[in-house]
Amino acid sequence: MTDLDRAHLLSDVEVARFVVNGYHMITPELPEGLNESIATQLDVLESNPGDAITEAVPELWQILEHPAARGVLVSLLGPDYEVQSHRHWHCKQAGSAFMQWHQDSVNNRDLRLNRFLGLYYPRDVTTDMGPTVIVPGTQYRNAPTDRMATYTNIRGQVPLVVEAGTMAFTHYDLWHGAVANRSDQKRHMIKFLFRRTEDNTEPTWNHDPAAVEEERDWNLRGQAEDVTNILGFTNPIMVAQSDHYKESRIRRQVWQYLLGKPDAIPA
Amino acid sequence: MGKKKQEKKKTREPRKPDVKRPRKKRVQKEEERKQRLLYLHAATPNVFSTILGYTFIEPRPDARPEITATEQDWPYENVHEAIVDGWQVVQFPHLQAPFDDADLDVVGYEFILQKMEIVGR
Repeated sequence: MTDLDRAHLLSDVEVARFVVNGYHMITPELPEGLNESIATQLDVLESNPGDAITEAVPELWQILEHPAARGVLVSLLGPDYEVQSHRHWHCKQAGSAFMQWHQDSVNNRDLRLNRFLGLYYPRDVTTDMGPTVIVPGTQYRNAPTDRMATYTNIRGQVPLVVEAGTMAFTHYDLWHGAVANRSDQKRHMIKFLFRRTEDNTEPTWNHDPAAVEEERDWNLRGQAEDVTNILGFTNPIMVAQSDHYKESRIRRQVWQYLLGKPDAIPA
Repeated sequence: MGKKKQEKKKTREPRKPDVKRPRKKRVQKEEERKQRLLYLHAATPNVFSTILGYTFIEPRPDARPEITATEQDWPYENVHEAIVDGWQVVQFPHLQAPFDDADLDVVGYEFILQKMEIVGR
């Protein structure tokens, strides 16, 4: 890891918020014109190259290798993270319909934080351009996609209305969908997959052991700015007590796992 | 020669001015009313618990509820508010499902409500 990477590692609070909400967004300072150059190349692609999108548009590697992106990846997946070979260009055409809520893949969820997605948007995405929408905190739910078919708007959902160059790192199991594209422009997004290769033996972010020493503060609750209270109290979609207690327990297990205690999560 | 049938011309009696005819009341005909559906996902099975998700399905051919990116206009805070507004619960959440005190699955408890109304095209 370079010093530059180290400077971009996440803080305890940022990691805790990822554990709770299941996403973290960055907008790296990229060379001038890079986003637009990528978008222009995508505009004229006649077919979807699938995993070969990085061969069709090699400049995409500059996004993945940017220190700000590497800082997030090292923080959450460890220094030996893998950029998986599967990646996909999601081109949401002008006039295309919305996409229903879903979790990717099948219901074989793992509480270990061992894989997530990176969603890169080379152009500004406005509300009418079919933004991706995520539901913070749903990443620990083991819900068949078919069971989500009767949901439309969910409390706390976040549309990724973002500026050009944004990369949204999302937990693999986070519920997501997309709004209809009612604009006259294509909305580009490149999805990358990242995977952990080794369990942590120690924290891989800018960790301060004192950060977890705060007592629970029943007055601050959701407004807290420290790890203990963020993990314990944050309730992004306002679930009731049973689900909230289960979520809190899972968050503490995931946090312990990231600190370097693989047994914190039962097999 | 047959008897010439004499047709008697029927004449309407003039309406008596002092008789008031009852006005016909406009009643919604059963066949004109259609089922509006409302799925409400509440935080608990209690009808007073907060709503976490909702879906309206209108009885029109082109009705397709969709996720929105703009500020949401929540129709009701809880199921009870919808009932007060005339919605009828046609399905309550199923609580007989296997209970798990560790795993999390879907968001909230699903109530399905209906309102039978005449709905424009």
